[in-house]
Amino acid sequence: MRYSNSYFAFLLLSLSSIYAQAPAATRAILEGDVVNAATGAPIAGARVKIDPTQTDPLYGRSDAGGHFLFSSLPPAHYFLSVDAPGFLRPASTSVDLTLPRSSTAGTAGASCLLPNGTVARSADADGTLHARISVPLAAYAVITGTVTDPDGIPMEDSAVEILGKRPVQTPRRPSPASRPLPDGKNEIVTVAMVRTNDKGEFRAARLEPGTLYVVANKTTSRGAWESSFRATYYPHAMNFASAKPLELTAGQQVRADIQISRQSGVRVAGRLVKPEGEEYPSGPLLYTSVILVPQQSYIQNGNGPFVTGWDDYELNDVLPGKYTLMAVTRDASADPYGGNQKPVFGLTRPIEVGDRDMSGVDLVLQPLRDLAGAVTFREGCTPFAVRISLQSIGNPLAWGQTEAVSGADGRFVLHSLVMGKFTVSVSSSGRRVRAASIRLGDRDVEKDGFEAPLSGDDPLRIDIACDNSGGQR
Amino acid sequence: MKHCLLLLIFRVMAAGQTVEGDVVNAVTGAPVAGAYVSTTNGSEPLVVRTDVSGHFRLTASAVAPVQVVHAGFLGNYGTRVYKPGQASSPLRIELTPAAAISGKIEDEDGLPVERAQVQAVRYRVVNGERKLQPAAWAESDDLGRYRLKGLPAGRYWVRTGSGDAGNWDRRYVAEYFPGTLKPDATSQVEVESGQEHAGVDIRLTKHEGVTVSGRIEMPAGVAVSSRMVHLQSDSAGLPEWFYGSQQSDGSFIIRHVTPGDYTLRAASGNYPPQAGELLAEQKLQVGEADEGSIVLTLHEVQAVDLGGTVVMDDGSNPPRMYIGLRGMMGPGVSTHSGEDGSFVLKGLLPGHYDMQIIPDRKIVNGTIAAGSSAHPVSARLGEKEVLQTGFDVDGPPAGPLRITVSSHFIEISGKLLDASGTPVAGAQLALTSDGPNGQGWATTDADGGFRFLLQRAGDYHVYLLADQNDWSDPDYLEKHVDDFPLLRVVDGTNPPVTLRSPALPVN
Repeated sequence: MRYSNSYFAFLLLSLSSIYAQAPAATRAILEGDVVNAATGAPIAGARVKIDPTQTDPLYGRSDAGGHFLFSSLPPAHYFLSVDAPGFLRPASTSVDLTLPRSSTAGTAGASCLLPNGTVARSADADGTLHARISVPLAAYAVITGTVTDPDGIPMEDSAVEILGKRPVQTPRRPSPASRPLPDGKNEIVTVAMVRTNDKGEFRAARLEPGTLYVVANKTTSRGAWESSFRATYYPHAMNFASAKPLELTAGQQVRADIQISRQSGVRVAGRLVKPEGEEYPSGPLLYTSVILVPQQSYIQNGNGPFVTGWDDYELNDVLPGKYTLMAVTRDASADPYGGNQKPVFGLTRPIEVGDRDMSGVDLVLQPLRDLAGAVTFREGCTPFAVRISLQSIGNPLAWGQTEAVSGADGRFVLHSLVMGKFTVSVSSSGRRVRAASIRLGDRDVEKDGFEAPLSGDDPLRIDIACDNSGGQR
Repeated sequence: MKHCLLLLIFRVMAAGQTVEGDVVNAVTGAPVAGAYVSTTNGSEPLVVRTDVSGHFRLTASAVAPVQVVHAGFLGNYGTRVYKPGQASSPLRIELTPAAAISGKIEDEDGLPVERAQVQAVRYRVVNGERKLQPAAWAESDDLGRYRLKGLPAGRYWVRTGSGDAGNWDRRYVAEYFPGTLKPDATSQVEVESGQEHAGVDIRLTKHEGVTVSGRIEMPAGVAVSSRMVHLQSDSAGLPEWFYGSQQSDGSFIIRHVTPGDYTLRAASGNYPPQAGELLAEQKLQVGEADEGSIVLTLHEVQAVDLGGTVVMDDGSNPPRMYIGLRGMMGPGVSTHSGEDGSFVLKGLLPGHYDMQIIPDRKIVNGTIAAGSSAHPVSARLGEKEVLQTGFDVDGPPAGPLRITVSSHFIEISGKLLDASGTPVAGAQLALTSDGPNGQGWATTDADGGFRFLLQRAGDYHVYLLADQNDWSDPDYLEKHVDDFPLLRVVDGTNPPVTLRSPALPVN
């Protein structure tokens, strides 16, 4: 057999080009199958998006057999997103189309990966990289229903929460969306919240299968809630312990109609005693809000909304139980029309309510205190201005964040801390800054925060190591 | 804000009253059972329900104006009485059934669009300008369905955001029913009281638009890092955003931008920014062609102080005034002028601010003393009149803020009679003339009497309002402009006026 020189030259050239550029290929194919995670059945009409840079996406749809194909792609890392009506959306996942090797999808570090998705990679004879991916999607569950008031009239704008139960997360960071159960092992989390429309109807979709509870809360429509109305758990329970769980499977839709329960309680009332000798207006521009926060309860079901008074207050239809009574007085004289109303006095105290009206529960309000502190930077760091924000946990009256920005000397003052628990967060230029330590006196308060009123005059010390300052100046 | 206003109102109400009344359907006249009637009993809202005949009775230590709500009806505050002889108890409170608009949002492939912000919008007069404002809004569910509830009867455009379709494919943008980028005069949806207009479906289409690109320059000595870039349009009051991405070399690109007027903005943190953060802004008109080579230079945002003075129009000593500035977001900035009229507004960050100027309130023995009757007639920032329009802060302010106030009012009093000559009690009247400060409002008393305090002379149009919303409704004002003859108001003393109502407005 004879070969021409030119043939050898061509072969050499071809080989050299393959080896010289290996492992880079010139072309890639990405194909896959979208299937129902529970049944394995193909999902037709799912939309598929791939995007190498997250700015120039390519779009496709799965065919009747659930199959999709992108051919003639430049080799690159691609972000793959898949979405089909009725199914939960997996987070977009990264597919490596630069190297012919097999792996599980999403090894590039996407936060929530395709569940059990797999990628098989190979190189075709002509050097084309070929990835085959299977994309199982989980059908979501839906809860629908109608909320009516005790007289059977539709309740408009009621906040309906879908609750789940899970073991207490450790380390546990206090959050308004999770509430511990009395057993200490489990906590309730809000997995969805929807509002009823003018016919009292609600629909909560995109629910993951599992055991879920439903509670209908107070309406936001002002005045459309009597103080004897109670947040009501499906089907007609006044607390979580008596609520009926809904067992939801993938793709299931269930109804949970709720009629709001009515139960009378007792009256708690008293005078609001303000500190003497303080220079504040004594008129309507100085108002006090009072609320009872149930101890060891999962939802504020013990009384009506918070009340506001000047010289006295009155809470109606309070159910028997142990509460923390919280009061905050605000001075509106500096800004009668705005949100800059400064908290000036406060009080927090435990109170046990029985089955009789309680009058004369006078509240002796205390001036609120400031908390001073300083930011320090570790060696080698260039100091920068730091925003210190306090988030209140569990005091519904502590609306508005308490914030301060450190000065050139690192010092700051957080003004007028209302009573209750706070966590501290630190940011700069809108980005979170991770502090090396946050201490109140000798106490580390970085994780668990601290409780006001504070007993001593200890300053809040924030120490920052510049390697995690978010690339700030 | 509302919260505090309510407190103030409730506090001045007389104590020890009983209020009785009947709640009826404003359209059919039928009693409305189970309506929530509330007032405030000192501090806590006191709530009662209407019985099967729509009747209620409230006894409280202090009775404020009652508020009436019922699912499916527009809320009512129960302080308005339309017909003669009903100014005293029992109240007749009419609840107007609310209208609703519902439908479905789909994409080009017929897939449901979830989480789309859908609004029913119509023009309102805001600070003298016609702006599109939402009357109701809703979010589409996982089936793409939405329901705009609680609407007063009227004509609305239905506008939808692109929702999850826009997250999936940036070529999906906000559209108006039935599928236009701008509100089209012929495509309004009309609803009557109590009516549900279903089937207002919108199928979004992809718009290629144009590409806006350029680079972001950092201040000297600051390393390049990822920054937020966006375009914000403000077409007639409903802003829309187009987001871009920034590459590590400082270049940015925003794709699929539809034509319009925009502010192009880059920021190191969230918008609006805080002091110390980096920001760059410029106006940009986007047409049919790509916009490239734009350079955005970031600068550090600094809080600025704005000083100024309050003067009286007649040269006398100015009273102390409260000067409040309200930004687009955040709590705003406020101050009080001193004895000499001077003030400083501290810590203004970049952005647009609207103004509120009222006499400072003094508190004597726990109640608000009758304050000055001074009202602002002008606010000039540098050479610009900003009282009605507000102003933008972008770097050091353009000079002191000079506020002129006046205690001067022209009084117009008179009587409102219906076609048969009977006095009309509890009617809301409004006067308006061209130019700033040319408005006045009054409610007629039990004998049909009214009194306006106007800030300046001129020719005024007179309106009888069925609803407070009518005042900002340009269609209503246009329709009723000739209901009453033009009223000439002169400086000094004006003779009493008798107004004859052609017909009472239908609520």
